[in-house]
Amino acid sequence: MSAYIISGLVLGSIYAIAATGLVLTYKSSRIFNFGHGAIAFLIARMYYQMAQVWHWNSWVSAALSILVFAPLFGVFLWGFLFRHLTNSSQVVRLVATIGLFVAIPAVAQLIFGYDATLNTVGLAGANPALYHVFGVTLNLDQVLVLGFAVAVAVGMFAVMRFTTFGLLIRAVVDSATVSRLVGTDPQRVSMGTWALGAMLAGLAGVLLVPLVTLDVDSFNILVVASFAAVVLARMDNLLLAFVGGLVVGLAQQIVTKFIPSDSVVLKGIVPSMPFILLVIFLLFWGSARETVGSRAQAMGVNPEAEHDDVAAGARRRQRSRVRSLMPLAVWAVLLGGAFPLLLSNFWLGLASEGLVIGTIFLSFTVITGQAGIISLGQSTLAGVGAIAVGQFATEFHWPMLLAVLLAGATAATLGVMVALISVRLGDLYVALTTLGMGLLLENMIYTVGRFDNFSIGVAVTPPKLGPIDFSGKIAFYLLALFVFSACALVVWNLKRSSTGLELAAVRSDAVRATTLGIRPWRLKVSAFAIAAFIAGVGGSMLAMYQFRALPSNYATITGLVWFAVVATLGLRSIPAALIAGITFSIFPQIISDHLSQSWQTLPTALFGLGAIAVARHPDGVVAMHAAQFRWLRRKVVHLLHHAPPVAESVTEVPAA
Amino acid sequence: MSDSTTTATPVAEARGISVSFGGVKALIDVDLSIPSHSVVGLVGPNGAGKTTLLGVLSGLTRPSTGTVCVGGVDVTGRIPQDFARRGVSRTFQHAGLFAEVTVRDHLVLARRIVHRHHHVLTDILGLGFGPQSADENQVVDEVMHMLGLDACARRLPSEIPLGTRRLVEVAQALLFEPKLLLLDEPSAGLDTGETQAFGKVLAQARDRYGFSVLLVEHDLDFVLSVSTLLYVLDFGHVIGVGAPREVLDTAEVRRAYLGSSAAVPA
Repeated sequence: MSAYIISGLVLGSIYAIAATGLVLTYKSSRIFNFGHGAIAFLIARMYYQMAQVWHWNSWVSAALSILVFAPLFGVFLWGFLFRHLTNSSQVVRLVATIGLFVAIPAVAQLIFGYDATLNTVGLAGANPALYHVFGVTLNLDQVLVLGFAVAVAVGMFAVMRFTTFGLLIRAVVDSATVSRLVGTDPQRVSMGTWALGAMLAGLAGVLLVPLVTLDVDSFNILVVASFAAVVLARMDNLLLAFVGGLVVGLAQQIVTKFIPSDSVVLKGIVPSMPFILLVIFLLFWGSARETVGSRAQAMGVNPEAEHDDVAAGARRRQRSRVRSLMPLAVWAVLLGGAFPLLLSNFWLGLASEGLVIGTIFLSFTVITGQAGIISLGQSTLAGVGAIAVGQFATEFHWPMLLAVLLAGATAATLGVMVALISVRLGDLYVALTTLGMGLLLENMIYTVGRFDNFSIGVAVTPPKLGPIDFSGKIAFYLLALFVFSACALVVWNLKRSSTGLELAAVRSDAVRATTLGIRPWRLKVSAFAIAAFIAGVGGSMLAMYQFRALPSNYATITGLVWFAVVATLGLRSIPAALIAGITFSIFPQIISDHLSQSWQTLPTALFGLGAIAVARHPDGVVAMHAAQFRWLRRKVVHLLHHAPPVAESVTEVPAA
Repeated sequence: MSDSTTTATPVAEARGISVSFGGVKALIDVDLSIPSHSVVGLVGPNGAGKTTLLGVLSGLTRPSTGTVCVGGVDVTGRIPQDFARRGVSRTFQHAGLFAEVTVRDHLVLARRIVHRHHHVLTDILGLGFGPQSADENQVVDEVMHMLGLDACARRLPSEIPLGTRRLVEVAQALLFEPKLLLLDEPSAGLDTGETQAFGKVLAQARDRYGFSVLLVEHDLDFVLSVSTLLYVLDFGHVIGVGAPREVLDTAEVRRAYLGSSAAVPA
């Protein structure tokens, strides 16, 4: 037993260090940094480069990466991103840090290359000394983890309690405005905490090096595991965050002892333990702080500056139905008629994939674009759709159309369940819950033998309809186009309807919406259901495209990249979802056709950077260019007609 | 105004209301009654509990003791939506409009909440809308026109001046066909001319639709020019109630609110 406790404490120490850094930065800037794990990875990769590629002394490498590079990187991120997010809405803040999550590791791999990072060696060197404590053998690396954890705990306590910097942090947390008035500079304090936060992330990263393989996903998952501790600390209490980290690590290791090693389902519990705890903490402990805050604000108790990122694209177009369908018809002719004739089979296949992924992306358009909720579980819902279509169509031999609809319904049911437990908790907690649920399902459901089928998935064959076999490239392309259009029509109807208007109201100010008789809670749950249905249908189409329903193709982490792509191009618009889907399928292909292997993470890096840029342009690339395009069109029309310019500045605001 | 004498069931009535936030008692045993077709002023120094009382009357704040009746029905402890459905509309001191909804759509939204029983499912299948009904357009346009909002129909709240935003709030509240309109400091941030214009539009709307108003306001000239009944709050207590000028003249009110030597504005 003591072996499990010791290894639990080691793992828990790393969670504790990561969680402390997250809470510190959240306290001072109200920004929850999803990119914390990515920073840990970057610093660890840097340490690896110095210590093992360049063969520098490991302590010197660690000191340089944690004490010099990490704080500089923290300050850089603050200067170029976090500083500008102060007055942004929660959605924009989350999008930007998810961009970091996606971009930093990809950029790191562009810089350091793709060398296999095997045989990673920690601070203690290649053959760490062994110690025997309570009948348990510990190596020096593990002892160092415990030692650093104690040092961080004591150090943080001392900094917060006894130094001027700690006092300033506490003052800024209480009221940035008041501390500005008494002559301190909250921005500089915030800069300091980001430097410190990056150091803590870096320390956690370097300590992880000997314990796990040095790859992005395992780092990100490990840091996401510390989110449970952050929730336990209610994003606020450093001590609780630290203790929470230890508890999560202990729980994860101790549970191993009681799980029979031959049970596949139960084995899934071990890696999911942090996410089980995350969901439990959210349900029973997650405070309603955000809701209380916004209610106080609406009642005039705590007026805050209005968010400065209100999207001009929010303006509903007051056109007749026929006129609004016109651009859609143009698209349909182009996509439906021209593409199949012009493209080769290979590119047509990629275009089909783009349409299918675009369908999944439409679920982001509903949930984030329309309902203003960040759900990080859409890829999991798509995965559930894929699993369901595999079971219904292949295993049960039901007709494909029915199977796809049932797949959508299955995903929608799950979506409603997630919504019911998370919507009342507020924006940030919804993001965390959906992320936790995604990782949980990934560990528990995706791995079930019946679904995973020895890592090749269940075969899914596109249907036949009379003489038409949808396995053919052109036929499948047209099917994908039809399904995308059907889902797009649903989204378009929603945007224009009374429900869409109510969603816009709730997105702007949920409390005030309640006083008008709108029920935000019910609306958000409906939006979850619609988005999940679309994700499920899109997921089953992707399974058809790949001829198999392989759950691991719908990883939660992949979902974050998807989210970054849609955010970059525009979360509000249907064409943006389509363009995002096609970009996601075709762009990596173009890169791999024309650039060497070492550039293969370039698309991911660009998607991540694009999401970060959303901090400045909340509407996304497509809306930005649409405004420019409309401006250009007006100019052209004007030149053609030699008429005086039409004063349209009232209706069309060019992108700032 | 003669209608202040109406003695039918009050539009809204609060009895023995107390509210505390933690240890702070914001309201202590407050009684307030709003007769139909009246404009009731509610004044008091900062922190007297005026906004809290508005919160109680619109269902946002639950009183720890006391009852709230709207239209003669006890609605204590109900959710804000129930208050809205019974004809209570309110405006806010801050954050009054939906940042992502255009001026005209604020009105359309209100109209649809009251009159159109739509459903999410019919909405996404494209059955829940169609050309906006002629009736909806007519009502919305009439209110827009009466409040002089025609020019900014397609603007977002961030693109129009504060005074206009206040009017949009009132316009939206009117679309609910309210029996009681709660106004939280409508003149804050407006200059004298804008305030007068606001008062004029409010009077027109009241003549047309016949609702009662509870007006929380710091601008005493404005309050005196429009209200028929005045409540004065101080430290959570009602310290005066009655005809506006008479109430302001009582010694207690003068001491608490205006300072002992201050004169009531002419």
